Amino acid sequence: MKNLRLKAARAGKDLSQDDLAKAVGVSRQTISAIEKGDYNPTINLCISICKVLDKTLDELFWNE
Amino acid sequence: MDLKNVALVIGMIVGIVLSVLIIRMINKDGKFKTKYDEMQEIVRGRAYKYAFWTLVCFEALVITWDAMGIPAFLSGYAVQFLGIIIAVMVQVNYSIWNNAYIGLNTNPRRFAIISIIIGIFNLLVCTCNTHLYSAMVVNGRLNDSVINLVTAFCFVIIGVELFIKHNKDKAESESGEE
Repeated sequence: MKNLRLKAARAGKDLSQDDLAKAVGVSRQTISAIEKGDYNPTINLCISICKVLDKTLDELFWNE
Repeated sequence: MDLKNVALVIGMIVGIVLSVLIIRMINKDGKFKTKYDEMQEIVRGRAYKYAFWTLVCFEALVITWDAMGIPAFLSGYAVQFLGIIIAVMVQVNYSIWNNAYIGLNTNPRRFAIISIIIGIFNLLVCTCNTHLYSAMVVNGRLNDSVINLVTAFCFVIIGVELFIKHNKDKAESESGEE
C-alpha cells in the first residue's frame, strides 16, 4: 500500500526524496520504495524519518 | 609447481591487491568498506542466495555432464571459473536492478568507468595470450585464455548496466518521483 502521508509530509517540508534520504542516511531508492509501499522500513528508520519530518510514528506509519 | 601455476597464483595475488585499491578508488570517502542501507542489505542477501543456488545447480550440471561421459569443452580451471562468474553475474545483476549494488558512499559513474576499463584490460590479456602462447581452442577444448575473455565480457556488461541504471536513476531523481 502506498504511503501517501509520508509523501505529503516530505513535500510539506519542501524536501526531495534525495534530501530526505541523505538526512536519514539511506539511498533515494529506499525512500521511493517506502513511499510506493514496496518496502517496510525498520522501526529505527521510521523514527529517523519522523524526526526529520517533525511527525509522529502514528501520523506517518500507522494504518487505521 | 610449474611456471603456469606460479603465474596463476601471482596473477591472483595481484588481482586481490588491485581489487582493494580499486574499491578504495570508487568509494567517495576513500574507504575500503562500502556502506549499504537496510533495504540494500536485504536485497543483497537475496542476491547472494540466488547466486549460491546458481552455483550449486552449475556444479550439479558439471558432475552430471562428467558422469554421462560427455567430453568437456573447457579446461579444468575454466570450468570452475565459469561457474563462479555465472554466480557472480547473478548476484551483481540482481543487485544492480534492485538498487542494491551501488553503496551509499560509492561513486556510480567512476564504478562504471573502472568496470569497463577492467573489461578492456582483460580483453587485451586474452588477445596477447592467444597470439603469444597458444590458440584459444586446443584439441577441441577451450583453454584457460577463455577466463580473461569471459571476465572482459562480464565487466563490460556490468559497466554498461551501471551507466544505464545511473542515468535512469538520475532522470527519475530530476523528474521528482519514481
